[in-house]
Amino acid sequence: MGAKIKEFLERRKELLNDRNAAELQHKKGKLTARERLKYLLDNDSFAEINSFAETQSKELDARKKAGDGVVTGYGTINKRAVYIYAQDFSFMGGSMGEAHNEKIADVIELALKNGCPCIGLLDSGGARIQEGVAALDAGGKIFQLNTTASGIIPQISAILGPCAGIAVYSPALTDFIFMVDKTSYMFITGPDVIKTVTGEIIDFERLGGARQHNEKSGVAHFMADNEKDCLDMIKVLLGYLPQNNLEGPPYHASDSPSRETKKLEAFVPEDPKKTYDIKEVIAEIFDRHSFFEVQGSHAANAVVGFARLNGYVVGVVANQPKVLAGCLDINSSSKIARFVRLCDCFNIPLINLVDVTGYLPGTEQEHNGIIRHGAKVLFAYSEATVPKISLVLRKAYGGAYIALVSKDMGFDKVLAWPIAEIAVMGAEQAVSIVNRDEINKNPKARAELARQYSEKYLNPYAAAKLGKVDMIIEPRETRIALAKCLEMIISKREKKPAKKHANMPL
Amino acid sequence: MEELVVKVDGKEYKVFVEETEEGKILVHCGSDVYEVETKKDAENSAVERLQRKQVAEEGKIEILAPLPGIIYEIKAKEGSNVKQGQSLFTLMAMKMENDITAPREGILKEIKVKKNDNVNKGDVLAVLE
Repeated sequence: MGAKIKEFLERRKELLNDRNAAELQHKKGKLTARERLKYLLDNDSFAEINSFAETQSKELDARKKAGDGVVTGYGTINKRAVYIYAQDFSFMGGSMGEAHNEKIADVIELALKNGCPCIGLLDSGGARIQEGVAALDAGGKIFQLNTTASGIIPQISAILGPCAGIAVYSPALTDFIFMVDKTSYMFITGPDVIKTVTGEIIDFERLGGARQHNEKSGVAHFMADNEKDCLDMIKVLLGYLPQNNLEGPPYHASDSPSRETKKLEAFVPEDPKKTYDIKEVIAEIFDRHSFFEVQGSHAANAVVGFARLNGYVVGVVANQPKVLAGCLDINSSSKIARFVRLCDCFNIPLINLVDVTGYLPGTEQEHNGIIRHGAKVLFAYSEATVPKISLVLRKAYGGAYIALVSKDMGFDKVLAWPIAEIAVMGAEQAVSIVNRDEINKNPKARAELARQYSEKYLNPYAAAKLGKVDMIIEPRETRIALAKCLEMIISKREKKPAKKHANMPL
Repeated sequence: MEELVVKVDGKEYKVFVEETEEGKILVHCGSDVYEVETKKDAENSAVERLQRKQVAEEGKIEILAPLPGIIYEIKAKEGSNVKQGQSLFTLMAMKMENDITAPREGILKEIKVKKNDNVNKGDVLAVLE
């Protein structure tokens, strides 16, 4: 064997040597970058690129290493192509130097050019301080590419360690963030900086742990118990997404479209004051075991996620009467709007299951900008050109009706159960306003007036007479009817005027 | 590693303080490394206080109103044992009867509302111990 080939083999051996990394990571219950790639990708599908890139910084001459702390390349997951990068925390804390960042930028650019999803496995404390502005600027390049690729290819980020700075802002620009309970953390400034600046003492977990970001902040979309679970969940998620915005999501026939949904009548109480769990309803309507919830712990008064209906991937948006009466508030509005826009980007039809009295009243909501945040829901639905179906289970009042049901705002097909109440407001509130004088004169008339209002307006027929409801269906026909509606409009094409971009309320 | 400037006999030194995994504190000054002993400083005791407070919170939980509304029904008695997930109140809000359940097992130490009370979001409904 020639000396040059021998030297190359030596170098390659060194490159693939994972021993130090394994020692460090395994102690913390974590996998190394290469182990993560091996677990996530199909066998032998990984092709590494830029593996000899290293830092140009003179200061780091003694510590530099081929690869610069990130493994990048291409592979397949369930035989579908993905571009991927995995940061190596054992090399300078996964810090993002110039070469490191250029490598990540490269892989996003390739994913974009080739129309494949891009997956980031992050484990980095942020910019590499020793490389100064050069590292920061290359971070800017990542942000620029994340943004350019947004809406063209799915971008998925898994936070697999303590991440800060660039290492959290790049994920924030992508479509989905996964976190692992007790091992991943995200923050802009860590506990040490907070302590010196404001004196506040807080630990990693309570500042930026997986639970905080999945429940409170809504920064993350999924929480896994451990790393392998997390990587498995990424595989599941990819099964609902197309490769890029020019394709449809993968189709898998999985359940009969003519199955009757007999349990629904028992799940949803006829008395509109009673609560129930909408997730039981979702499980009964859509293909068996197909519902994959997104942001399940954040703003749980709205439920969003992917499911299949007669094999077609759909985005489900539903009110959850069990939590906060299923009301629309600031957090649930932002959650719904973001999900609707994601589905619209990737040609995923939307199905709404509506049972809501409206937006949450009160100064807390008003002063924090429910008008601005609630408007996001209107904006997202109005803008979305994918097939949009809305089913009113029980209540659809006022502003919430317009947001989630209105045909004139752009819902293609509107269905309602016979127990649906579609009106401007409930009976008590309505008569207090409409019949104010009459009730002032004779308070006893209130009950009778409310009964008359209910009879006249609190049903699906008033809306159906105006053509605002296409079908009134029995609960057991729900799956069949939704499957038919979806088939009817799945090939829908709608063109909006070309523009630079819209100015969505933020 | 944390960078500090220390003044000894009027002269300033730039040092780096490192805490090892075994909990030793090492001070790097130029090319010299010193191991030092530390007293429990104010910050450490603040952390301890915070932890103690957390334990107290774990022992006693205030059950708050998640929505502004009217107490429609009180379903548990003061002083009774309640199970996790047991329904304690029905809060009429957003035209619905919302179930307020016990976040964990415990004794319902105090009920702070009466039937038909108007409550705001965040008002204390009961104390669980």
